[in-house]
Parts: sequence; C-alpha cells; structure tokens
Amino acid sequence: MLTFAARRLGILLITLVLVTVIGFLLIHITPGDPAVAAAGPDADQATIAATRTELGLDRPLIVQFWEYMTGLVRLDFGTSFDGGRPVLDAITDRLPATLSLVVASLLVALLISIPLGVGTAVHRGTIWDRIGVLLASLGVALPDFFVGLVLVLVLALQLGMFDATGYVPLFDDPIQWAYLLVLPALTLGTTVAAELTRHIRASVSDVLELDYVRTARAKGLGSTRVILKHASRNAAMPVVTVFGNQIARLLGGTVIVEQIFSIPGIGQLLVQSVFTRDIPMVLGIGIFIAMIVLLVNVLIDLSYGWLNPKVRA
Amino acid sequence: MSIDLPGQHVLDISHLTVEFRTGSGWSPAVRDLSLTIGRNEVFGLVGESGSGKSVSAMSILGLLPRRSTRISGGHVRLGKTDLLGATSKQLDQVRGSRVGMIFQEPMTSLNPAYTIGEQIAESVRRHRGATRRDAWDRAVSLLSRVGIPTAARNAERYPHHFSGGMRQRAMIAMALACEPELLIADEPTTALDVTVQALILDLIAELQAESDMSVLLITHDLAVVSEVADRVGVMYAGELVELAPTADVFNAPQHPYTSGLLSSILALDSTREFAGIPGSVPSVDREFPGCRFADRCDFATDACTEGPVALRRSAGRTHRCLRADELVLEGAR
Amino acid sequence: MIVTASQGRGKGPRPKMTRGGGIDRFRRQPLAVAALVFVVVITIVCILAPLLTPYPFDRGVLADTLQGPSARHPLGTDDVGRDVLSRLLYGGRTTLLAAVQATGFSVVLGVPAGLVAAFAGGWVDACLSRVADAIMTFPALLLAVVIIGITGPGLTNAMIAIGVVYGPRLFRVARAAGLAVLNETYIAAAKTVGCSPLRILMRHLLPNALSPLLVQVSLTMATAVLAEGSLSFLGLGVQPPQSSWGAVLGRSVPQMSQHPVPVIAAGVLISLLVLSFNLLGDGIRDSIGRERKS
Repeated sequence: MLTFAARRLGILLITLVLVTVIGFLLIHITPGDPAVAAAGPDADQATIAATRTELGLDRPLIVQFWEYMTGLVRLDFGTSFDGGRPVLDAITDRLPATLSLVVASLLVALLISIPLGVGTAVHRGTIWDRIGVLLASLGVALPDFFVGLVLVLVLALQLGMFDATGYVPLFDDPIQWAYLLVLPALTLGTTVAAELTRHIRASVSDVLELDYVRTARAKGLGSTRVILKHASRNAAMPVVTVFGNQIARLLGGTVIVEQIFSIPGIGQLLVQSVFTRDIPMVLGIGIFIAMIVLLVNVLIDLSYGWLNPKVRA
Repeated sequence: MSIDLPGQHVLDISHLTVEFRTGSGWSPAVRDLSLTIGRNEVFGLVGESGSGKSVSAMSILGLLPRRSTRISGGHVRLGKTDLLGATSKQLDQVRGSRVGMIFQEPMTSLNPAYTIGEQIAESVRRHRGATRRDAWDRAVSLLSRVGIPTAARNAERYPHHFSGGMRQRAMIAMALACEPELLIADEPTTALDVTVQALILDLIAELQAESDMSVLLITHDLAVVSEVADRVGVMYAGELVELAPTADVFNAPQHPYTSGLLSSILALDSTREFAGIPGSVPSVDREFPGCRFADRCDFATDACTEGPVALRRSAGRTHRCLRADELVLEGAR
Repeated sequence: MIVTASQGRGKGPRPKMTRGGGIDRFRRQPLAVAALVFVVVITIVCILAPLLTPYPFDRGVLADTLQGPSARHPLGTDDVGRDVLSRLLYGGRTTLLAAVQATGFSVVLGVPAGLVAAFAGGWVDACLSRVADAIMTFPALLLAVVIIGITGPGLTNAMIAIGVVYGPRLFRVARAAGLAVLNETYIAAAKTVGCSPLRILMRHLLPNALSPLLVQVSLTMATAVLAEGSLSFLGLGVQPPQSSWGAVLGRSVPQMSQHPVPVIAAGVLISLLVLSFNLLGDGIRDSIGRERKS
C-alpha cells in the first residue's frame, strides 16, 4: 500500500514538472513578448527593456526555468505582471470562493446521482429506469453555461426566487453564503450528476447480479441493507475512479460558473488574467490546479485500499 | 426450535411451476413440482444442468430475479409458513434464520470487501439480535466447528485469503449460523477439487446428523447423492420424473431417464460400454404433447407421446413413466 | 505452414466485424439514427448558410438592434442589429469546423502515438502512457484556458488546446487496438509467411481499430463542441466579428433578461449537437459491442 502511494506520488511529481515545462516552453515559443505584456499597453521601448531586466526575462531560458522550479518547491509561484503581487497570495485570496462552489456542487451532484443511479439500477428495465437514463444522457449533453443561464433566467429573473449573481464569504454571513451558492451549485452539480448517475447505475446493476449479493439476500438481510452494505462498497470502486475525473471536471467548470454568477474565485481570476495577458498568474493557477487534481487522485487511490481489502495486502 | 407437530414435513412443495421470460413470452422452467422433506431428512434433488433443480431451490427463498422469472402456480410451505405468499419482510425473517443456503461458487459467493467473521456475525446479529461481541464470538466458534483452523485469527481475514474449500466451509458456517430447520445446498461441491468435495460432503452430513436439521441437496452428481441422501428426486426438463428412497432409486429405477443417468456414471469406472442417453436436454421453451423424455427414450411407445404424463404412484414408488410397471430397468448394482 | 499462410491472408479464424452486420445493427437504433440525421442536416444547413439567409453575419443595421422575433428576423437581432438566425447559421460552420479541427488534432496526436506505444512496448509505451495519464487527469477546460492564456486568445489556439487535451483518449483506443491485434496468433502467422509490416497494419489493424476509433471520434466531437461553446462564451474562442454558437450565446447574455431568445436558441443548438454526437458514439459502440459478445 505504501509503495503504491509512493508510486502515485512519483507520477504526481513527474506530471507537475511536465506541466511546468510545457507551460514554460509555450510562453517562449509563441509569438508575443511577455515583457511587452508585463510593461503594460502604453509602455515605450525603454520601459519594456527595463521591465524585461527587472523580471529577469533577459536571462537564459534554462536559468529562468530553474528559478521558477526552485521557487515552486518553496511554494513560490512567482509574481503577477499586474502590480507585482505574489501569485500564490492572489490564489489563496480567491480559494475560499472556489472551494465553496466546488464543495456545494459536489454535494448537489452526490445528492442527485446516488439516489438516481441506485434507483435506476435496482428498478432496471422499468419505465423509471428509462426516464432516469434519458435524464442522465440529457444532463451529460447540456453545457454548464447553458444550464446556468437557464437557471438564472427562470429562477432568478422570471420567478425572483434567487439573486442572479453574487457571492458572500461564509464567515461574513453563512445564510446569504448558502443562498447565493444554490444556483451556481445546481448548475455545476447537475452536469456532474448526470455523468455520475450513468456510472453508478452501470456499476450497481453489475454488482446486484453478483453471487455474494445473492448470498446476502439468502441471509435475510433485507433489500436496503443488501444494497447499502453489500452492493454499495463494491459498486463504489469503479465509481470512485470516475469520481476523480468528475472533480477535475468540476474544477474546470468553475471557470464558466464563476463567470456567470460573478463569483470571485480562482476561475474568474484565471479568465481575467488571460485577458490581461498576466502570464505568471495563468501559469501559476494552472500549476496550482494541477497540484489539487493530482492530490485528489492520490486520495482516491488510497481509498481503494479501504474499499478493496485485496489492494491493502 | 421448530413448532411443527411430529410427523409434519419441514418443507412442503406442491405443484410448483416457475416460468422464465423468453423472447416470446413465458416458458416454464419448473413444471408441477411436488415434494416434501421430513425432519432430519437429507433429500437429494438430482438432474442435469437445465433440469430446473437450482431454479426450484432459488424459488423456495424467493431468490430468483423478479424481472425475468415468475412463479405461476403451486405453493411452498416451510412448516406452517407459506413462503410464496410471504411479504419480503416475512421472507427476510425466514432467510438465513429458518432456512440456510449455500451455493455452488464459494469463490464468488462471499463479499470480498468484508471479513469472513463479519459476514457470519452479520447473520447472527440480524436474526438473533445479538451484540457485536456475541455475534463475533459465535462466528468464531462456528468457523472452528466447520473445521477452519485457528478460527479466531481466520475470522479476521478476507475471502481472498481463503482457498475454495475453506470458503465453502465458511459458507456452511454462515448458513448454519442461526441453526436453521432446513439447509439448502445448491451444488455445494461442484466447484471444488475432488479431494475437497468428499470432505465438504462429510461435513454437511456430520452437521446434519448432530442436529435435527433437514437438508435439500441439489446436485448433478449421483455419486454425491448416493453417499448422503435418504431420498432422491430426479428432475428432467423441469419435471420431477422419479422420487424414491435412495437405495430404491439406485437398485431399481422406475424411470428410463434415471436408469440412463445411473448407467452413464457407472460407465466411467467400469469396463462396461458407455451407455449414456442419446440426445440432449430440451430447452425450456420447447413444448411436448406427452412425456418430455419420450424422444430420447429407448422404451417409448405411441402412448407416451399422446398426452401429458402425470406423476403417478405405483407399488409404493413415485415416478412419471407410463411403462414403469412393465419395464425392468437397469440399476446401479 | 501452407495452411497457416492461407489463414493469415484470408478471412482468418477470428470472428470478423462484418460491415453489413454493424450497419444493420446501427440502423436498428432509432436514437442513434436520429442523431446521425441531425448532425448531417445541421452540417448541410450551415454549409449552405449564404444561400439560406439574406443577411450577413458580421454587419448589422443599427436601427434594428435588440429586436424580438419577427417575420423578418425569426430569432430577432443582437445588440448591433445583426440577424441572430444568420449568425447562428454562419456560426454553426465555425463551431463544426472548430470541432473537426480539435478532433482531427487529437487523432493526429493520439493515434500514431498509441500505435507506436503498442508496437514498441517497453519504456516507450510506459513513457507515452504516463504522459497520456497525466494529461487525462487535468481538467480539460482549464488546461485549454491556460494554454490560451499563454498563447493568446483565438479559435485555432483554443482548438489546438482541446486537441491536446483529448489526444490521450484516442491514444488509449489506438494502443488497445494495437495490442489486441499484436496478441492474435494470426499476426505471427502473417509475419512468418513474410507479410510486410505495412500490409499487416492495413489488413489487420485498421478493421480492428476503426470501430472503436469512430466511437471515440464521435464522443470527442461532442466534447469539442462543448469546449468551443464554453471558450467562445468566455470570449477566449472566436474573436468578433466572427460568429459561433458559443459566441452568439456569450454576446447575448447581458441582454438576456429582455431578450432571452438568442441565448436559448444557441444553447439548445449546442446541447442538441453535443447530445447527437454522444448518441452517435453510443450507437456505434452498441453496434460493435453486440457483435463482440456473440
């Protein structure tokens, strides 16, 4: 188990280095001088040259890369072109909003997909199963920006049940925080729920056919207990695998959803930075997200050990 | 622990018909099955694969998939409890408590995610309301009873640590956890090595002998039945074709199919020429006007194919053959 | 040996995917057929856009801004007076072309790499597979946004980004197909009778890999349409005055409360196209899947 985790950690580090290298190369291969972007739109040649020296962009690429990598080890993501703020500061400032959105969406996704997935699997072949499957395929196809806009259009603008946009930090006003998160979380949660429902249904209906589920029924455990105890843990394994992808997808979706609902999170920061050509910020956010995704994947790998005793051995 | 009156049957199946969903509607996989099992009796239900013996066993506890099967007639009684009419809650009180069941595949019949001990203790907790501690202790003592060495330690291990034989022992321990009136053993030795088969069979016989438990032993292997069963039912193409005390079936079979089965197992260990039975078991959706075995039978006459043959009693024997009285069929000895 | 040679050259002992059988099974799936029809119809309509609409997609009439649906403008006009329906028809070209670009890019990237990994094996396979795994774990949209952030906005950049992100999927399919073929004994037989590697590739690999690749291409088209929509919605994809479905939608959001029609029309179109490509992929998969089982 430990060697397994260590191997995953190794892959994580390789991936991080890979992401950084690609990002770094892209910056310097593609047309457009980072110094020009950093100096601002109205800068003259002298200012640009000064900026270049100041940011160390005139040094050899390999030196810049080494500096950046050693910085990363100290969790130094460099400084923003826009005002010289440390990239990590800007990210951590915005982390709570994104985290709130991700956790709330995950909650929505699980609350929808588990009952729907298990229900359709148990009642496989019935009309309810077909409706559930149809809903799930629709949900997979619906773009999250469209879902978000329709929710805003109907629930906020037409019915006035919710505010269309906005975000309040959790510790400022928990109720308002939750209230404002409903629509964004529904938006992001439903699309993820659709994908999860399909996997849960497939996985649970596979497991329900297995011999040991029949054994559990022959023990007289009752169908609820059979499903909750004997089917779910084994059905969870393939689902947990896609769960990692779905969390990645959720993180990707924050870019869109934060834009629609004006949530001051990392996704919004990324889009802004793309427009202002703030390259250190873009790269920093990319690497930060990569770290989170990889960490989630390591956690998921570790959860296999709990789900399947064979892995533990 | 049974409330049954003396002389009553533990299990009473009468006129049971089970149907499978096929491409063109419903086809009977078990037709008009009637049998009883007395207290402390070992009943062997024998047949080739596809004869309906496992389906019959599954339908006793309502374990057949609801979407693709249905029970279209008859009744099944366990003591005074009507099992076919029982609600799922009532059934759950019977399953694992009054009736224990073990299956053919010990490799896949145990849940890989839980320890052996937990899977046995679970049943004790469910039916006896025992505490976690007590249930675990019982699981350990059951494991040691079925011949698992260092039971306390092995109870904490997972199925993948166990060999096939050990898993089947664990399954037996699980089935017997609540001292059932009836043990249904569905091909309990088929998936095991030959050397292990005999040990498992001995264990079942031993456990049965030391309690007043009855056993319904389902197998395709007549040798298994000959060793432990008191009475034997032979199934062919969904029907019971013969039912008699074991010795009678082996010495003087009344149905040509039984005789064929006996000669085909004997052919394996004797110098006699292989007799066997020509043809193969018909599929469930095939309809026959008369005896379902007629077209494979050496003794069939026109009368055999004219109309359905009911289960009949003659000279203290029960069988489904029109010509039983005139035929002298070859037995095993 | 002569017998083996004829097996290697001929139909082979393996149950082969018969073309007619697969298409027949596909035809028996009404949803998949409907999806195919939708994709074809949309493609034709968008290609014929200049013939179907009298309005240009890039110039509007300032007197006609933000009109509701009418006989002249069935879906109304946008904030600079352009006919929304025309913009959607022309925009469909961009959306479809972008999806084809992205998918093509991931095929070009993933398939050869997958085949090389399968045939080379060893550390080459290990390295390529690790890289593919690494890319797969990363959120696709975020990676695309980051790549655009570094290379600058624009649809081509965006689609190259999407192509990179989905390359690993095709890599996996191609690698699996390659391995499956390599493990077949008749390949060894074909080699012993002196078939050239290219011939082996054409004869045995392509028929094997084609169907799973088609499935993956269809599913990748779906995600590429989604991605184009998302990126253009954020303003990172097509640049004005170019039109695409995502761009029409993104542009109409500020006026959404008074003029919801463009947002809904563009959103429905994107959703239907994504759904169609998904159903198409599932349909192709089912047409092969059943054959494999039997």
